[in-house]
Amino acid sequence: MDDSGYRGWSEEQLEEVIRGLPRREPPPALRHRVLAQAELRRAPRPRLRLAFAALILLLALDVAAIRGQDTGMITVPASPAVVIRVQEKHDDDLLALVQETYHGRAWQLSLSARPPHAEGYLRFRNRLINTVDWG
Amino acid sequence: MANVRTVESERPEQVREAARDEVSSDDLAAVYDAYAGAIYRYALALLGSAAEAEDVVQEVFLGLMRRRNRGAIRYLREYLLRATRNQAYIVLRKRKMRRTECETWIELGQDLADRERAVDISAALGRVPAEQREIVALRLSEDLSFREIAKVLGIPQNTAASRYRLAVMKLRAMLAGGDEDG
Repeated sequence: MDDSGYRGWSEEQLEEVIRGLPRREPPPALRHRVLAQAELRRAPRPRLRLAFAALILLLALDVAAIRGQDTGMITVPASPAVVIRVQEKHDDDLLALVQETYHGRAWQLSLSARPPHAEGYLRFRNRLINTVDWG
Repeated sequence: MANVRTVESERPEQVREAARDEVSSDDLAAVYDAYAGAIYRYALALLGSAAEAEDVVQEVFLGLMRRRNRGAIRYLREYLLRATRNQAYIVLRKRKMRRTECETWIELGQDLADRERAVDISAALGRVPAEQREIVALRLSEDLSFREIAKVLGIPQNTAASRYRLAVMKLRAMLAGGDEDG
């Protein structure tokens, strides 16, 4: 190391010289690399997290409804096909549930016979399905 | 994090809402533009290797991306430099061989008028112990106060100041041709 230029420098002089030296900058390609990696590793967006939460809620609701049905707390009407099939055998029992409007050969169900909590459950379930952005 | 750019442009030291919610691409790019240089140079001072310093920069920013819902960052620059130090020490622990050459934050471009001086000072800095060199880097390259350096390193302010003085004395002696070494 050539010492002729540095001998006699004070600490303040040395500090000033080091401060004045050009500083290295990260290579431009690094910026692109970092931002691309960050984008790749980005956590799921809130919209997708909401959809996931809604799906869990939906499943929980269905499980609760099924269990409720088992214990007789909730009556979720059977599908029209089942009702029609059953109706052919036990016409009297199902008159309250099935509205006797005949269109061609299909029976149409009347939902008005459902208990209020089952109605609310189905309405909430449908609204959940229709409003959540499932990504 | 949503307001990083706004707050940063006003007063970089007073970022209060950083990394609180989702970090958008624009936010991250703005933080990168503001601090990547300081992080890179600090990592260079600690590791002495440009390739490793680049990896550290990447890890620091990916860490910032992952950091959510953990409260606001009050001083973003100090936070990022602390994260840089942590990442650099992870690299140092994994290193199997001691490096024989040490790159520093000083640019040694061919077209520099005082290239010879830059080379001499950079070589002398490479011989200063890393724990002192990092303080010189933060002080003379990034212009941090001893209070800020102490926060980044997690040491008392007086310790930071005395390590710095020791490093400058060694540098001075080495440049003057003395025998001061590490």
